[in-house]
Formats: sequence, C-alpha cells, structure tokens
Amino acid sequence: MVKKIEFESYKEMPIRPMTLGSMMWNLTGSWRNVRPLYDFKTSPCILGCPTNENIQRYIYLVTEGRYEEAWKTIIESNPMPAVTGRVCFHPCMTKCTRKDYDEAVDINAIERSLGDMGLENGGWMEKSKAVKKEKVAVAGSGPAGLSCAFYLARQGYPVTLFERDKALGGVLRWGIPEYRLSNELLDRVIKQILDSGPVEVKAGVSVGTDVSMDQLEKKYDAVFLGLGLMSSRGLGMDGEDEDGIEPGLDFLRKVNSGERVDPGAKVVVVGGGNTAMDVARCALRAGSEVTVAYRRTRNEMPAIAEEIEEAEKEGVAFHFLAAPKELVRRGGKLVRVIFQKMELGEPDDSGRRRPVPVEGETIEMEVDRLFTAIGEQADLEGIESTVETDWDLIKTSDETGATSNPKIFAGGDVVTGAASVVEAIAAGRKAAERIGRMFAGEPEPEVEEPKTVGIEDMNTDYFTRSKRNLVPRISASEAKTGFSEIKTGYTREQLASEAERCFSCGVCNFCDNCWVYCPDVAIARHEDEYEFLYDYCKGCLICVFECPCNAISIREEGK
Amino acid sequence: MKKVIMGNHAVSYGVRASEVKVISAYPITPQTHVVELLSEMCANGEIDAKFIKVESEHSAMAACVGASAAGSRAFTATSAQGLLLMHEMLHWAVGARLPIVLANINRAVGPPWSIWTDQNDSLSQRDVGWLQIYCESNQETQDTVPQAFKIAEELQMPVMLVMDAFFLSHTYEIVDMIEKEQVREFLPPYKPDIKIDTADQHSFGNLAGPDHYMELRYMIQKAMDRGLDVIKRVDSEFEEMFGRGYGLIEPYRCDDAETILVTSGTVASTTRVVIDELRDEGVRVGSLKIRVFRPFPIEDVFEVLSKAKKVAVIDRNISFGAHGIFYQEIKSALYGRTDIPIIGYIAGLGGRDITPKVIREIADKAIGDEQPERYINWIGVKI
Amino acid sequence: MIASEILADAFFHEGKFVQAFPAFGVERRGAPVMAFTRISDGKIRERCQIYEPDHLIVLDRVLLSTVNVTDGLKEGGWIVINTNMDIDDEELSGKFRVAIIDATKIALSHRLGSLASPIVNTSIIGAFAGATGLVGLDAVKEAINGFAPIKKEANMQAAEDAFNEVKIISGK
Repeated sequence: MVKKIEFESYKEMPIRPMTLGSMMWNLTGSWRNVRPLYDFKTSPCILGCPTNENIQRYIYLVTEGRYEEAWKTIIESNPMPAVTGRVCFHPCMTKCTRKDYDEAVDINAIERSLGDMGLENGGWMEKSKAVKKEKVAVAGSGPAGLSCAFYLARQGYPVTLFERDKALGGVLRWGIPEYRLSNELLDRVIKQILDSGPVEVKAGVSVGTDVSMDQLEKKYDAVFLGLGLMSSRGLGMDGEDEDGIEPGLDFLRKVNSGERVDPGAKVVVVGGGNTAMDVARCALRAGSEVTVAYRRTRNEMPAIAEEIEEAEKEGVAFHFLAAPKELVRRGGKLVRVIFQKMELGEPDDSGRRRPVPVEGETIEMEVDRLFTAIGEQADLEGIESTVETDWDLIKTSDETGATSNPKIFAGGDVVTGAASVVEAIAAGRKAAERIGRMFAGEPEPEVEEPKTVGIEDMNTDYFTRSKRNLVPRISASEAKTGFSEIKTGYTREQLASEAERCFSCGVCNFCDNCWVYCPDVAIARHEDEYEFLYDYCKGCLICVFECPCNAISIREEGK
Repeated sequence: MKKVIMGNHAVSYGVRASEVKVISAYPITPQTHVVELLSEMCANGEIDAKFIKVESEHSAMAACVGASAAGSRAFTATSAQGLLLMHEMLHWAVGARLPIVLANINRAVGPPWSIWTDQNDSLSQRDVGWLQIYCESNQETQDTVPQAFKIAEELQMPVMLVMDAFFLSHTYEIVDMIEKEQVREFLPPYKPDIKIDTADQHSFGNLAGPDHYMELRYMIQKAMDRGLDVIKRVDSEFEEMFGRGYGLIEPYRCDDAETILVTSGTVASTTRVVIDELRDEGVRVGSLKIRVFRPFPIEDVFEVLSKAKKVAVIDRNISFGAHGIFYQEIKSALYGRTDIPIIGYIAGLGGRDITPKVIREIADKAIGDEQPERYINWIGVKI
Repeated sequence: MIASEILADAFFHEGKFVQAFPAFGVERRGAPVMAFTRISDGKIRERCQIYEPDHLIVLDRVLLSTVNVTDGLKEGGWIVINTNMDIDDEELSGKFRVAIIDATKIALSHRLGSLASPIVNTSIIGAFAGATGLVGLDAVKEAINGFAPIKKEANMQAAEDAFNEVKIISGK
C-alpha cells in the first residue's frame, strides 16, 4: 500500500518538510539483506568459574542496586559466596576481558560483599521442604558435601549429612586459617545452608568405619562422598616420624581449633602450595622465624599469588630450588636440615619444569621444627571396596561425580586430589543435579559448546580506563601479630564503583545504545528487553557496532 | 537588579531567563564564556536543561536541530570558524523551520588566525535564511535572547544574535538582569504544534520533488517578510514589560541631518559620541544603527536615509570583489528611489579599534568635498 | 583584569556608570597585561579601548622599568604603584600624582596567594581608593564581597589596610 501525499490546496501544505501522516505503512524492513539479532554469549568469567556462577548477571544487578537478586543469582550455583569471596583463587578474574584492557574486575571482592549481605539478610535464603521420597546420604561436610546437600535439599530430597569431626566444615574449618576465614563466619554460613532445607546432621560419625557403606546403601537411595583429603603426604625420608617433624595439616588443625602452639624459634615449611602458605603464616603468628623451602621456583608455586605476596610482606622467607635431603639431630632433637640444591629441567606431565638435583650442592638450615606441606592424601578406609579407585582417590566417570557404583557419587578433593574450594562446590552441585535427574528418570543433557567473546569483540570506545578498587586491608605488620581477618571488604561505594567496571561481555546490560542509535526507530524498548521491529529494520547494523557488549549478532537474510 | 557583568555572560543570563531546554555547543574563543557559564548552570540546576557536549560545531547545530525538532527550546553559541563549520546545519535549521537561537560572537576568520572582532563570519551566512540581530551593549545582548526566542518560535525560523568579540564579549558593563519568572510571562514555554512525537508519526526532512520544493522556499521568504512586523511587535511587548526597547533600526539625531553614518554593533554606540561632537560644532550629522540585518528593514531604512543628502556606511566586513556588505544592502534598499550619494568605508577588520578618532575621520571625509572612491574606501590601511 | 572589574564594581556601587575590559588579546598568567576601567556620571557610549587614561594603577613595580606604563597618561593623573621600596623618580613625580603601597606584603599578611604569586588585586584597589579619594572604602569592600569567590573577609581587610597605609609621594 503506497499512499501518495495529497492536499486539497497548497494552503494546507505544512511549513515543514514532512509527511502529513504516519510512514508506518512503509515497511522498510524489506530492504534488509542482513539482520541484527540479540544473541547473548557466555561471558568469559562465567566459563572461568568452576561452578559457573552467572557473574555477568550478578554484577549487572549490583550496578542496579538489586543486591538480593544478585545474591540469589550466585546461590543458583554456589551456596557459600561469603566463603568463596574470601578464599577462592578466582580463575574468573584470570578470564576477565577487562584484564586485556586495564585490570580485571575484582569479581572476588564483589562476591564477598554480596556473600556478607546474604548472611546479614537472613530472609534472602529461600527455604525448601522435603517433598520427594528419595533419601540421600552425604559423607563429609566440607565444601563438596555442603554444596551437594544444599542442592539436593533445594530439589526437595531429604539429606543426611555425615561428618567425622564434631564440628562441620571440613577443610574450611581446619585447613584455612582464621585470618582468611574465621570459624565464626563459617558457622553462620553452615547454619544458613542447613536451615534452608531438609538436612539432618550426624556429626562425629565416620563413614566407612562408624557406619559402613553397606548400611548407607541399604538405607539411602544414593550416597555422595565428599570426604576430602585427610592426611599430609610424607617426605619419604629417614627419621621423619621422629621429633621435630610435623605434618602441616596437623599444625593447622591445632591452630584452627584454638589450641596454643609453640613451633619453636626457627621453622621451616617444605612445600609450595596453599597449605604451605597457611602453615608458614600461622607459625609466623605464633612467633616463629619462618622459611618456606620449595623445590622449584616461585613461578611454579601452586599457591595463590596473593597468598605468596602476603606471606612475603609479613616476613616469611623463601628458599627456592631446595629439597630436604637429610635431617640432623643432636641428642634426639632436630637441629639442622640439609637441603639438596635443585635446578629446573625438562617439563613434566603437569607442564611445569621438573626439578633435578645439582650434584654435590647442598644447603644447610638451622631448624627447630619442620612442617611438611607437600600434598595431602585421602583416607578411604571402609570405602575402597565399594567404588573403583585410582591410587588413593575415588574414580569418577565425568564431572557429575558418577562412580563405578550406580548409587554412589563422589566429588571434591577425594576425586581430584588437592584442588580448590570452588571446584569442590561445583562438584557437589553437579552431583546433586545428577542425582536429582537419576531419581526423576531424566536423561543427562547434552552440553553445547558455549559461545563467548574476547576483548577484540567489545566496542571499547564506550569504556574508559580505570584502576581496580582496592580491597581495604589491615597492614602486614598488624596482620602478622594476630589472626584478625586481613581483608576487610569493600565499602558500598567501592562495590558500586567496581561493579561499574564490568564490560558485560556478550550480554546486554540495558545501556540503551542500540535503542538510541537506531536511525529508523526500529528497536522497541520493553521492561526487561529490547526488540527488533523487523518490519522497519533496514539492516544498517549501527546497533551491532554501537553495542559495547557484543550482545547483538548478525545473520544474513535467507540463510 | 543591576549587576556589572561580562558581555558573554549577559548572553548566558539571557538564556537562563529564557528557560532553554537543550544547549549544545563546542568551545571557541571568544565565545567560550557563554557556554562555560551555561554548563555550570546546567550542572548546579540553575537551568533545567540538557547540556550536550559535542565534538564539533557542526554536531552542536545538529544536536540543536534534533532537540528543536523534538519540541525543545534549543540554544548554541559560536564564533568565526565554528560558525563556518556549522554552515550546512544552519541551512538545515531553516529548511526544517526550527526556532533555534544562536549567539555568534563576531570574530575575524582565519587565516591568518585572529581572535579579534569583525563581521565576516556572520555576514557570510547572510543567505542561509537565519534572522540576524546585531547588538551594541551587554544590556541589549541579554534582552535580545528572550526576544530572539519569541520571534523564532512565532515565525518558526532560527535567529542569530550577533555581537562583537571583546568590545562586548569580554567587556564588563552594567546590566539590569532579567529573571525567568518575569520572562515567562513574555516568553511562555515552547509548545510547537508539530514536533517529532512517536505517538503522532510523521517523517521529517524527507524528499520534496519539484512539485513542492519551491513552495516551501516561498513560505520561508514569507516568514522573513512577516518577521519585520513580528520583531517590532515583540520588541514593543518587551519594552512594555521591561522598559527597554531596541527597534529594527536606531536613528540618532537624523531628523535634520545632511549626512548620516550607517553603523552596526558596538561601532553604533561609539559613533554617537562623534555625532554629538560634530553637532556641537554645528555640523548637521546623524547616525543610523542597523540592528536587524535579516530580514533587512528596507522601508524603515529608506524612511530615515531618504531625507539626508549623503550617506556613509561603515563596514567592519568585506565581500571580496564587491564591497562592504552593509553598504551593498543600503544601496539595494535605496536603489531607484533616491539619488543621494552612498559612500562605503571599510574599517576595523580583525579587531582593529574603531575609536571616536577613526569615526571622526570617516565623518570628515564623508562630509567634506573630498571625492570618494567609487566602491571601497579603506580606513587606516598602512599600505 | 580582576582589579579592573572590582574597581568598576566599586564605582558602580556609588552610582556611577562603568565599563571594564582587558587589553584584548591572548592572556597568559604572569605575563604583563593591561586592563581598563571607564567611569562616568552618564551613560558610557564609547565601546573601544582606552589610549589616554586619567589614572594608572601598577600592580608590579618591575613594570615601571620594562614597559612604558605612563604612555598616554594624562598629566596630573594619579599613579598608584605596588612596591616595597620608595619611588624616587622626579620625572614621574613632577608630571603625575604618585602614591605607593606594599600591596604584596598586605596580601601575604592576609594569606592571599603565595610569595611566588601574591594576589594583590584587592589591596591595590584599597590603596587607589585611599590615595585618590575617588571612590569610598565601603564601595570597594562591597565590590570585593561580590567578586571574591573565597576569603571574602581577608580580601576586604586587605583593602582596608591598604586604604589606610597608602603613602602619597607627590601631588595633593
């Protein structure tokens, strides 16, 4: 339908060059050969997070001041943001697009702020009830077990949570020092999780010994094993069971339970992981002079970089390329350790360069106490007969934790070996979901390779360079004198300002650019989304190029 | 309330009193103070307006075009090269019939670079269809802003307010301040019948074939013709409310004058000092200030000048290859209706001072028997 | 430039017609600049620069030896100079009425500006008022009150000090 402009007389002619009526009849969309479409990708941070927190979404909600929704968004994939906000090694930030522009967004600090808000606002946590008949036993109340219990309970399955210690939390309680994660805070987190749904706790009960796997399999419809790693690996040296040598984990356990410790004047910690850092810093706080000895170099240290830096600032000394060779005792008392000098050789299976001894070169260190922190191992007594194992770890077929026994699932360090809190949380959640699907008779979903974006896909013209908001922290000199929490968390202003730094990679954050720039007014803005009016969109693609976030893609017409 | 303020700020206060809704501008000496103060006023809430920062004057005018088309009262200010960069959009404002007001601080055009005053920037926009009003004092400048909006909105035509760089822009003078509460009565909020409105859809700035284009142009000229009456009426309404009026032109001691000096801008003011001096000496001389240049007030000018024996036009501008531009306009206005001699003088280009001494020199030459050059008489050129 | 504005404003408060403007051009902080004030009982129609001033204010004594500051100055006019030493210039004293003031010292005593760049505008105008009697101290203070964005009291006190301390070397 083409309407010709006609007027009765030229006196009616408007003074402006304009049409007399609407031009909506002119469906200019027919001119288009390519169409823009809203096509949200998965932000790289989300892919970097082991439990796939919807980071883009909750940061967007923070920018809107919608904190409760933001917190609930995290809870979809992680029941304890107050914990991970403190102790996570935040691989999300390593993937953050912003790091290729200036500095990664401090996602970890934002998560912590939200986590703390969730604890302060008890009403945010939705309560679930036991509406399903299948019962699940969860063994171990570390991050994997708590996570699995939480997500099972949320689906309505009654859960019984077994813990061999009297207190819940596992490695969160005895493995992480107070200055990183206080027991008081952990208690609140655990209480919130337990109060949220049908979880019954059996503490002081060791699965495999106090209660057998047989009993569990009979009584429950499924069992999840989140047992963690219980003991330090030995050095394999003569005399290591004698006085002066102590597994680092045992020391941490004592410190974290509030026991008074006196490690002696000179302490050497052998190892380069997070346990080594925790042991070193706790010994420092007990008044010792502490040296960490590691057989490779700083670059190969598996500990979180920030932990290493903090330890160094507090006064922990480091000795690299040194492996313990011989213990020297005088009158039965450990006095010296002789270290073999190492150098880096060819890369090993882990991709790190293998340390090899430099023949004939040794170093001696005076020592009152030597802590071992070169790895931990699982305790599978009473369990190894029910599931297939691989060395001392439980073997699973995929990341949902399925084992060789169809009723038994496993996740966390007991499957992966020493890993991280967030990976354990992810394993617990995925197993809970898998168990739910099993009960419901649902097939395993097919996973598509997610589409993501990088800095080259963003329209950086819309961003200005800015520094990361630094998390306030107490000074190193103050830190090393006690166990107070080192990081004190963002102020509300810092939280808002840091959230604003998010690029919202691949996902619309309602900036209105497309809507504003569309020269044909062919985009409608609704409450929570935009819509292309394809009747009028000519396919100029200005919206695509002006979208800062790469949330709009292009498709050729007719294809 | 009276205050001693700078000419540029007189414009800003005029804009504030006019309750403008959109301001978009790009800074340029000697105009910058105008929008600097306005942006402060926008920031601190003195004006309830959107200040749009842009990357060029072309965009500044484009933003005003958009704002005005959407029904907002829009303002911008510029000078020299800035005005020239706007040129295309100046045409657009006229063709689209948008009542935008622009303050142009007359600055000489480079190269060579000059920041000082002359009128070639605004006068080279003579034919785009903007109304042009030349002011001589800070008071007139401030008062002309609401007048300009009222005229613009009634005619649906853009208006350019013009003033001299430094001699006004940077000069502090006493100004009786106008406030929005009073001005609102004189200049009600802008509510156009037609505007861009998603609820009443039209296409604007569309193609007009040979069947329609000429009619639209005809209507622009009709608006200009009507403009002379509208400007007069608006001015007398303003005078009624505020006690100050300026007219289309301002004759000074012309009634029995044998020679009349035609001037504009600040020169008009200084010229009156010389006229009094000559009158004291018994010379029958007067001056005529041209305030409104577009539409050109042909009849009013004829009425005054036709009684004289000689007319001298002082131009702070030049149309290369022709003559001073006011001179051409005056000649054209009187053509065929009188045969009195009209002599043109070019003076004060690039900010060279036009002092009473310079004006006296021009007057002496014009009054005296010295045979003038036929087209161009340069004043004070050292070559 | 600010001094010329304050001076204009002071006269304005006494009911005079005024105009103030800089020597038109490109300004640079610290470079010698000129600014002008026109004062009249009636409406001011001259809109051009001033070439033959009646009076002269010199904000820095150094300018006396680097610039021909008295160029065009009408004989018998006032020259008010900011200086920390006596001016012993017979030619100057013979043709003009000369007054001196250590405006820098006064400004610094009121913490106006720094030693490297003291803000002497208000002191020098106070001195001009004190020496010439052309404008009253109250009007000067009222002008300063309207102009100074900060330290209004200190500026007004500086003007008053200068008004009282200005030393007339020749004339009157």
